[in-house]
Amino acid sequence: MRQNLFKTIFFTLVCIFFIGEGAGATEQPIQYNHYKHTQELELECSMCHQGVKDKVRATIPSVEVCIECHSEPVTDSPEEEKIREFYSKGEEIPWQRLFRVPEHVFFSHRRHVTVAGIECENCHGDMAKRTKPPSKAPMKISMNKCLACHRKLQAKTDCVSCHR
Amino acid sequence: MAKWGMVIDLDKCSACQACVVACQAENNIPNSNPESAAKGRNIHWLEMIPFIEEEYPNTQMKLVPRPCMHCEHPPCIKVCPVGATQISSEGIVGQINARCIGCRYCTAACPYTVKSFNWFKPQWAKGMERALNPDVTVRYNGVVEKCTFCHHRLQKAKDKARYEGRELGPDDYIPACVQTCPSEAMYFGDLDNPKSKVAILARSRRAFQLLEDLGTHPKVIYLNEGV
Repeated sequence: MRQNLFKTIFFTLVCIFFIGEGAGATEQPIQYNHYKHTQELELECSMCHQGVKDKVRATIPSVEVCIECHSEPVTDSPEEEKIREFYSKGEEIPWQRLFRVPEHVFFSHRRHVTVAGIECENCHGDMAKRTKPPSKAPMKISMNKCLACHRKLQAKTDCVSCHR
Repeated sequence: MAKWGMVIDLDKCSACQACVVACQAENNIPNSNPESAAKGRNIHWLEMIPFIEEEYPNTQMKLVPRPCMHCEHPPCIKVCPVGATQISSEGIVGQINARCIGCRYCTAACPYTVKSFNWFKPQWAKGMERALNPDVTVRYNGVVEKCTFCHHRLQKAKDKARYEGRELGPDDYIPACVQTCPSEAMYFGDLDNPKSKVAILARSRRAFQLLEDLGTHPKVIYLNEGV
């Protein structure tokens, strides 16, 4: 009887552990340091996310973009070495996307960043100041947030302006 | 503010149905099959409506292309319990599939029968699912869909125009059916601008609307034959 009880408790704990692990926690292939790039080196977001100013999508940089600066070791970090490993194998770095709008939403980065002049932090939170990749998006994107900002700035709130 | 409208010249229309095909391809409309056709469950955003005119031996068949009328007073939005179908400030009656609960009130309320219900999971002939338009969401079963005047094209056109720092031009936004029409029987533009092609044609003597007396004020205007 007692053994059964222990088994049940153990099983429940294992279940909780696995469910907890699966709930939105994302592991990135490289421990990328946003803080170092954007704050210490003062690089612009658009240097790596190249579509952010003039394209609909901001894009996650390909390994080619990283290797432009990291072809030779810049630091002694083992994480940096991984970039060259991926590059020499001819593979893309399997970055995991954290921010995603549903398929039925039309979102244009250039319209928000270049035309309206919205700062990245408004939607992406303190991403630029993170020293380690967060396990989930620092800020949740929801329609309420979109609408709040659209109302404040008197942008269109028609359904068909964004949904498709 | 623009009021988008369409003019269809029935004198020029040869009923080739290129507009129907263009619409199916542009808007990821699933392929029909004989079983669903027998039940009247095929989905068409733009359909050819046959009218039989006169009597034997002078019988004539007239085919009229029928997209969504994008009424100024749409009966569909009044009955939607969840606000999934709404009219925008530019006069486009949109259908937000993610919000639709599939009650089909709007399907019943529409006097032009433009709304289709997804009875099945959408299916395409093998290989065709790779040719889907990424700009248009694929609908799932249990929601209602209809012609949106290809408003994803408007979103893109506006985005491009604003980025380039100019106003939206008359040729920037045209739905797929109008773009395809080989006999140039379809016109599209801003009805609010009195100098636009559609506004001039809409004022002509040949202009009429479907079921005008219902007071829905459709923004699809037909031009009669002859006269």
